[in-house]
Amino acid sequence: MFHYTDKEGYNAIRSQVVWCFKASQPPGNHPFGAYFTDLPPSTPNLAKRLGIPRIKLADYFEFIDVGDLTPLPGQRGDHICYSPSDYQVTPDRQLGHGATGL
Amino acid sequence: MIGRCDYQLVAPPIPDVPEWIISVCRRKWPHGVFLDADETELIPLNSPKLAWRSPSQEFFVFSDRGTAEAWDDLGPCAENWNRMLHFLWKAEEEEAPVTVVIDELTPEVQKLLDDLQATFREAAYFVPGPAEAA
Repeated sequence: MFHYTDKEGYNAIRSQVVWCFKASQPPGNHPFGAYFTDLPPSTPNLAKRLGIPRIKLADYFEFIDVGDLTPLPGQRGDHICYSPSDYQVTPDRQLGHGATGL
Repeated sequence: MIGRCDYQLVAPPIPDVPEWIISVCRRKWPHGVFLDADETELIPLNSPKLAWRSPSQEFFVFSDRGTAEAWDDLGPCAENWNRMLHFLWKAEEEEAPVTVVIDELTPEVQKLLDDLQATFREAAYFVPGPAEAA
């Protein structure tokens, strides 16, 4: 599972041993929450699929999914899910992070 | 990490749902372009290439090539608001769910969604019943 963010968000998350992805109200008609996707940085047209500009894909966090996230309603939910509250990822689940190069 | 709004439509169980969608979009945007989600080639909506390609299960339609080329850098903004439509569909046994991703449900976009749903209902008349199919 991946979370994408800009440089500012990246620095804030990686500053902690336990990654904490803050829940917030996204633009559009989607629930308040912290959002994630199983689409890797190499996915064609990733920005368009997620509906966000490329700058917000500057950095990524990758972690092991434990099945506790809720799929987005609709078919984008096949690849996008969320937690309705702040979501924490302990070091044992962390797989990697860094610049996407996008 | 997510943007835009998702709306759900229902299409009949026909293989060429994308073709019906593109026909509606072509009326709205004669100079629009098509982009398969897994590809990079922008294809004009009026190009014969669209007629013979395999149906895409996820694709984008833009009002024009310039909007398509600038979208990733700009993201949703005033310049391109509701000028990219994102479609996802699955061929199902009974009915095919179609997700349409837009920026905002304006009256103009609502009309487009209504046109799509009406087109799907019309397309259902072309689906052979069990007796005809046999």
